[in-house]
Amino acid sequence: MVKAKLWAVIRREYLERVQTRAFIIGSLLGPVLIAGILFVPAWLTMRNLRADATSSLIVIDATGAGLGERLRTALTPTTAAPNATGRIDVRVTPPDGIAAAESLATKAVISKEVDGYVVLDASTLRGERARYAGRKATAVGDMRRLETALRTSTLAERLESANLSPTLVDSLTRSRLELESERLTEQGRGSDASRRANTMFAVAVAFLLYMSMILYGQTVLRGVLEEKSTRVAEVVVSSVSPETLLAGKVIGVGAVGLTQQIIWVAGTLYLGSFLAPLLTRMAGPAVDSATPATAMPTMSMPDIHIGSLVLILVFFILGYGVYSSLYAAVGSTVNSGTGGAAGARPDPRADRGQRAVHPAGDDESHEHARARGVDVSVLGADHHAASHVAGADPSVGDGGRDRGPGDRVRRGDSAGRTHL
Amino acid sequence: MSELAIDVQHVVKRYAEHLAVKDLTLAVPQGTVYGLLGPNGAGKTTTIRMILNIIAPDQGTIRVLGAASSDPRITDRIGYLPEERGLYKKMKVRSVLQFLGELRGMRRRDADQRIDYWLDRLSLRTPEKDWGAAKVDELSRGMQQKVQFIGTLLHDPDLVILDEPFSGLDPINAQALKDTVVELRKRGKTVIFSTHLMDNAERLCDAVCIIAGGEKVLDGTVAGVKTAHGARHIALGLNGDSPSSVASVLSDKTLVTRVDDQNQFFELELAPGASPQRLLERLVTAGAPITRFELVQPSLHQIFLQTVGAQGVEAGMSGQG
Repeated sequence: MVKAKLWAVIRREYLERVQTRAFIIGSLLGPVLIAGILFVPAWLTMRNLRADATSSLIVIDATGAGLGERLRTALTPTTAAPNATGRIDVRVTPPDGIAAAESLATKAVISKEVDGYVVLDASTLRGERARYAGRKATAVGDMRRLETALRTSTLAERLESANLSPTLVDSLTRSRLELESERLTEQGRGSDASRRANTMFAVAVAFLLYMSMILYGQTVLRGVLEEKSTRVAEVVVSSVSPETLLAGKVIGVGAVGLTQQIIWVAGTLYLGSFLAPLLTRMAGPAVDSATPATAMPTMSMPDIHIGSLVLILVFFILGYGVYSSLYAAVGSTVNSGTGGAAGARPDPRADRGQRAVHPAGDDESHEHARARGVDVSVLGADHHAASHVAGADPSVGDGGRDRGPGDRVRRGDSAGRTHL
Repeated sequence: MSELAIDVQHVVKRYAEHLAVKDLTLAVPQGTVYGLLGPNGAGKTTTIRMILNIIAPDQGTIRVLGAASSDPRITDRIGYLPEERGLYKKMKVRSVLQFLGELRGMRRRDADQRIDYWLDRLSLRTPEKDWGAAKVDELSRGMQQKVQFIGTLLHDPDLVILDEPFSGLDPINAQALKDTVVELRKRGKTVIFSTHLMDNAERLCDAVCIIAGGEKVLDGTVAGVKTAHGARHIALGLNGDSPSSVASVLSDKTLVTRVDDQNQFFELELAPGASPQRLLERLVTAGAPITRFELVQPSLHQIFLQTVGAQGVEAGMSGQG
């Protein structure tokens, strides 16, 4: 019988909330948001890759050894994507022509014809230095790629000048060594590429989990306050125990949250199944390029197992349990006043309730909530005392009623302090 | 009437600095309409909440329908209309009622039938408009009161507790409420209601209990209470201005203890030991232009004022109903 009533409470909480516009919109927008958090950075990286610094470049070659051509070859992907190759412009100049060539190249960069230029000179050939100037100087990945290509080209050039046969040099330097790092955890292995995605996914999930815990915790608080302010609580509590009511509320709202989480996760995976191939296609040419992959911020779908999904739900349930209970405890101690003007009250009280909880790291406020939580079952005890004071106040009349709510809230507050 | 619907024994409820109910003992026989009367703040609502096990008494015992008030089995047999009414505003009327029914142990299908019956009966469902499908906050205040009332009676409770049921009701709803109370009484149900409107109590109640300042002042059947206070009250009608000698007769404390000038007539309470004959004789001697001299039963209102007195009302101001 108690079970049937608990079920009735849960069902009401669940059905009433699932049917609200906020829930439907939130559930639909959630996956879009998560997908956004996951895919937009990846997409930006990809876009960056396609039009990266090495694809639109002037090479000022003052080495006189054809290092520029070599660099171009090194930078050109083997499976040639047409727009990725054409823009490397090698300008062979004598050493004393560098300054003139540079100022020309600078103009080209400023007029956005190219992204940047590299200056290769004798010191480059000695393996000491080369210079890059351009828009993408801050793109770490691009710079590393350029550097790698430059090193390889210089090495090849120097090997050749040490009388190694060009074919041998070619076969030796054309190493496409890739460092494949694997994430090794209790749960198993994941590739380096997916690690990035995993991190991002983890952050996104943590954020969303936290948000929804708070959100649904507050929903419980609001629900408790609503029942008190509309005085439904009195009818309900006369039929079921406050424990059943609160448990039903926490479970019902939790089920709503869980539903939303599941919709979000499923929706994200569904959206992901569309977006991931898109990203792979975009990333395709760059991934296959000749340059080593260590510097490549490749993206893949985070490797999410069913286990992780279950864990997310478990985390939600546990976290939500803590938060909602806390909020419910606060909600049940924040009392509604008596009399008319009920409409004005919920706001200041809801406000106060939240303020009481927000410094969640604050031990004192935890204590506060706990201490007040003791008289959860004594519904209306505080409110009786409060109105007792209010009634004795000689100024309570029509004028007094206006400031009544605020007054009561303050009084409730001080009453709360004395509980400590 | 062997079994008591409600048996409250020496109950005490204390709030922080305020004793809401002091050693209250009540006995409500089954099948009666029982009025819990008292000024605001007398402890009526506190008593009702304790009967409903919403709050626990500090001392004393409460038995409801033969079981302890905390027994979960009895809650399904009680209907409660709180003084301050409220419903889930965003819910549909029918859903709210289904929910309230389920909380009282009804099955959904049974609840639906009863909801139909009540919606029709209180004309919330007409061929033109079914308010059951509307959200609660689309309803007018009067209609919301009806819905709340349906919620109280939906599960056909054996014991109906109405806290200040007439406050805020328009005459039509008040009449519907009275009719329903009478009907419940005919069907052997017990109805308890608190009020400070003596007229309603006098007309509806079989028995009353007057409490003030958390204490019982008197209780018993309405007839019994009146008889106990009766035959000591005299309605005196005077034609026009009376000579001052009449006033001196009326202020003679050996004859009259209380005078209530009701404009059309005076309601007098005889002093102990004084006889109506003696009073009439004195009045005639004083030359009073008497148009009416009648031994009357005091109204509940009079009894209330007399027993609770100004002091009780004042004491009651410090709390809430």
